[in-house]
Amino acid sequence: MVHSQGGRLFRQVLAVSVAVVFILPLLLMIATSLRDPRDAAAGLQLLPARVHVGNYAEAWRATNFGRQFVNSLLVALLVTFGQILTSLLAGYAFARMEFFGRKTLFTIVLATMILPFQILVIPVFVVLARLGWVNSYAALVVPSLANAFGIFLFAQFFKTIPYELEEAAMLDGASRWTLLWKILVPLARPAVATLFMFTFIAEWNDLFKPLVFTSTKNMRTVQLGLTVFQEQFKVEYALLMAAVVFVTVPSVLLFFLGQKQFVKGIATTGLK
Amino acid sequence: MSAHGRDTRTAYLFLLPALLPLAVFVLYPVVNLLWTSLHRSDILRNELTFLGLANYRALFAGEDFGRAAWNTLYYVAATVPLGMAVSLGLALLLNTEIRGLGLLRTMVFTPVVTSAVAAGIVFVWLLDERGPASALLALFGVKAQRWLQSEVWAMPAVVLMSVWKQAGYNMVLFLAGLQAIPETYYEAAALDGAGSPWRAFRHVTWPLLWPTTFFVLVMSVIQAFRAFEPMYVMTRGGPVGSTTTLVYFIFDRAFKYGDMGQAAAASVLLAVVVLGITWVQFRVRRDA
Amino acid sequence: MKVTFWHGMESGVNNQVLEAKIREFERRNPKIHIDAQVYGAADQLGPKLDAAVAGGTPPDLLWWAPAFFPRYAEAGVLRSLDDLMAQDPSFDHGDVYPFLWELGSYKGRVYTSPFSVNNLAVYYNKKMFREAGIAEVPRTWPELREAARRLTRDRVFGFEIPIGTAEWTVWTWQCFLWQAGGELLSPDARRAAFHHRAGIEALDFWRALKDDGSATFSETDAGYKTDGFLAGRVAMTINGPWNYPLLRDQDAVEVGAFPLPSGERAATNCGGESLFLFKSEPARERAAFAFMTFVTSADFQVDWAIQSGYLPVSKSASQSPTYRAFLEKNPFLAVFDEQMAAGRVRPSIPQYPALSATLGKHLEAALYGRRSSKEALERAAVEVDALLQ
Repeated sequence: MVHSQGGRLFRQVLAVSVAVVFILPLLLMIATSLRDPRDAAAGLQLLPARVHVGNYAEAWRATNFGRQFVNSLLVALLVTFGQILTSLLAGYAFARMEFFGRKTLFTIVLATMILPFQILVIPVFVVLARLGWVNSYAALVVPSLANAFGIFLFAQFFKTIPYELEEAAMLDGASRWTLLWKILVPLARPAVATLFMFTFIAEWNDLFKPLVFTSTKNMRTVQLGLTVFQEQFKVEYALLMAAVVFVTVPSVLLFFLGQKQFVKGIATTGLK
Repeated sequence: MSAHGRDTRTAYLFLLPALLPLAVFVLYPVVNLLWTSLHRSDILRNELTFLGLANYRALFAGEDFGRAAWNTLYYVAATVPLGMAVSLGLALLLNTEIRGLGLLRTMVFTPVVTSAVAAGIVFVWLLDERGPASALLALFGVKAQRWLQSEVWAMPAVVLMSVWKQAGYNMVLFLAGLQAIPETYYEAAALDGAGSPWRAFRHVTWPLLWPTTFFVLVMSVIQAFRAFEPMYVMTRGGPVGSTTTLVYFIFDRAFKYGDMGQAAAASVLLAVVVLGITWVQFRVRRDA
Repeated sequence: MKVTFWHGMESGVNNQVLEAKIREFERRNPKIHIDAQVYGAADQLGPKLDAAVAGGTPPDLLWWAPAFFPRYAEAGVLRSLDDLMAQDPSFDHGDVYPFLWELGSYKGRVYTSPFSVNNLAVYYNKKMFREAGIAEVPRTWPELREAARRLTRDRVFGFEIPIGTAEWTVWTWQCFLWQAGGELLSPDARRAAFHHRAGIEALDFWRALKDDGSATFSETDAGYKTDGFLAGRVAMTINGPWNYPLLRDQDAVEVGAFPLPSGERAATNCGGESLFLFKSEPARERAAFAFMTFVTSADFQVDWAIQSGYLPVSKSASQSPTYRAFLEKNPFLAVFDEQMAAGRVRPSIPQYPALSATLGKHLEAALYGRRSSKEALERAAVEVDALLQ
C-alpha cells in the first residue's frame, strides 16, 4: 500500500490515541487498585490520593485466589488441549473424507454455536448431576471439549492443503491417522496457535459455567471468585480492582506474546 | 477420488471425540428445550404438564417478549455495523508501519480479555451523571443525565460497552485478512493509477477482504444475538426492560419467574431466528 | 456427619462471626461437621440452587430469605420441621416472634426456621438534615415529602426510590401499601388486592416524590446498595439494619435512622433470613436440625445480633439485658428493633418470586411515567391473578 510520509506521523498519533482510549478503563482499574482503602467512599478514580500497594496481597489472600488461579489454569488448559484434539480430528474428517451424511452433519455442528450457554444450563446440569460430576473438574471440562468454532477453523485450514500431498502419502502406504498427525498437523501449527489462544481466553473468562456447576470454595475459578469478592453490600473497589488486574494479566500476556502466530493462524485458514 | 461412503467408518471414528460432547452437552439440551417448551415445567419436581403451543401463545400475547425481540434487533443493528467499522478501521490503522505495533494492538485487545463484571463496574462509573462522560459531553453543550437510568440512553450505553469490548477480537480477524493480501496487488493497482489510499482500499482491499468481512459479519451477528453479559453487568436488563434482550428475557423467565416452559419456548424462537438469519446471509452471498 | 450449608454472608465481619459460631456448635456437637459455603450475591443463587435441586444435589441447609421457600416446599424438596421441633425439648417454639412462623409456613406446615430478622427503615444523612434546618425526623407521609423537598439541592436528592424486578422494590413498596391500609393479596391469596385505593395512593406517593424533583431512582435491581447514600447524592434512602458494621466504620457520612413514616398506620416489612432444610437421610436431617436449634437459641441470637447488626428473632433474646444494653449504645439499631411492633410479613406462596417480578415491572413502568398508577396496578393485577390460578 502506498503511504505518504506526512501521513505516517498522523497515523502514529491517531493509533496511539485510539489505543489509549481503549485501554483507559483498564488504567482506571489499575489506578483504583492502588488506592488506600480508607478512601473507599470515593468510588473509582484515575489518580488516587493515597497509594497502597498492599491491596494486591490482600486481594490475593482474601478469597484464596491462589487456588482459584490453579483451577482456572487447569480447566482452561485441559479444555484448550481437548478442543484442539477433537477439532483437528473432526476438522480433518469434514475437510478431506467422503462419508455418508457429511454435509448435514457439518451444518448441525455449526448450528451448535448459535445458542448461548445461559439457555442450555439447566439440562446440562441435570446431565452432569446424573453422571455425578457436579462440583468437579469434569463438570467444567467435559462439556467444553468440543467446539464447532474449532472444527470449522481446522476444516477450513485442511481444505487449503493440496491434494497431491495427501495422495503422495497414501500411495506410500500411510493410514489416515498417520497422515494427519505426522504430516498435516505440523503444517497446521499457526492455526493450532490461534485456536489455543481463542479457547484459552474464552475459558479463562467464563463466569457462568463455574457459577452453576461448582458449589464449594475450593472449586471456584478466578472469574467466579471475582463476583463473590464483589461484596454484596460493601463495595471494596480497590481490592476488587486489584483482583481484576491479576485475573486479566495471563490473557493479556498470552495475546501480547502470541499475537503474530495468532494472526498468521487465522490467515492460513483462508477464511473463505 | 474415493467412492462416496468409503471412508465412512474412519470418518466417524475421527468425528466421535468431537461429536460425543457436542451431542450430550449441546444437542441433547436443545432437544430437551424443545420438549420443555411444549410443557409447563417445574424443574424442581421434574414434572411436566403438556400444554401444546400455549407457551408460545403466551409469549406473543404478553408485551415482554415482543419488547425483548425489538431490543435485540436494536442491539444487533447497532452493534454489528458499528463494531465492524471500528474493528476494520483499527485493523487498517494498525497494519501500517508505525512504532510499537505489538503494544498498540495488545492495548486494543485488552478489553476482550477483561472480566465483564469489572468492565461493567468501570462503565457504570464512567457514565455516572457526575462522571467523565457527562463532563466530556458538557463541552458540547449536552446536559448531564443519569445515562444508565434513562430508558433512551441505557441501550446506547450498553452498545458502546459491547463495541469497546469486542473491537479487538474482530480487529485481529481483519488483520489476518489484510495480511493475506499480497503486496503485488497494491503495486499493480498503483501502476494502474489507483495509488491513493482510498482508491487502493476500494479497488484492492475491500474486494479481497470480502471473505474475511463476511466471516466477521456472520460471527458478529450470531454473537450479538447471544449477548448477555453487557446487559447483566451494567443495567440488569433495565430500566423498564429497555436493555432486556432475548437472552436476558429467557434468563429472567427461567430464574426470576421460574417459568421454564416459556423460557424454553423463547429459546426455541431465538434459535430459529438466528439460524434463519445466518442461512439468509449465506444464501445472499452465494447468489451475489 | 457432614452437613453442607450454603449461605450468602460474604461480608468480612459477619462471615468471621459465623465461622466462630460454627466452630462453637461443632465443639458442642463433635459428631457433626458443618461445611459452610458462600454462594455469593443473592441474585446469583437462583440458577445455582435450581440446578442443584433439579440435579438432586441440593445443600442440606440453606440460608436465604424465607419469601422464596414455598416454591421448594411445593416441589417437595424441603423437610417440614413440625415433628422435629416437637421432638426437641430445647427448641422453644413460642419464644420466636409468631409472625416469623407465619412467614415460614406453607399449607399448615413449618418449613423454615428463622436465622435473623430485619425490617426496613430510613437511613438519613444527619448533616444534610441539619443544613436544611430539619430539626425532627419526618413521621408521616406529608412530612417525608416536605423533608425531601427541602433536602434537595444542586445534584443532591432528598430521597431514593428503588426500581427493578428483583424482590427489593416490591419488598419496599409493600410497606407503603400497608401504611395506606392496603394488602398485596385477597385473604384467600387467590386474587391480587394491591390495585385498589391503597395501592394507588402508595404508588402515587412515590410518583409525587419523583415529580417534585426531590427523588431519584436507584440503579436497576440495586436499591439495596448504599453507594449513592454514602457518596452524598441522596439524603434519605430506605434500607435495613444489616449494613450497620459498614456504616459504623465509615467516615464519609454521619448516618442516622428513623422509622418508616406512617400513612393511615405504621408498617414495615420484616424479612431476614431463615434456614431451609432440604430432604436427605434422617440422620443428616437431624444433624442439620440440631444446627437450626442452636441458631434459634437465645445465646446465639444475642451474640449474633450484637456482632452483626441483624436483629434477634426471639423475644427472650431481644429482651435480654445484654442486648438491651447494646441497643442503648447503638441507637441506630434501636430504631429497627422498635419497629418490630409494626412489623408484617409477605404472603407465603410458591408464586411469590413471579408475583414480585411482575409487580416490580409494572411499578417501574408507572414510575417512569409510562402509565398512570391505576392502569399500571390494574395490569399487574391481571397478570398476578393469572399466576395465582
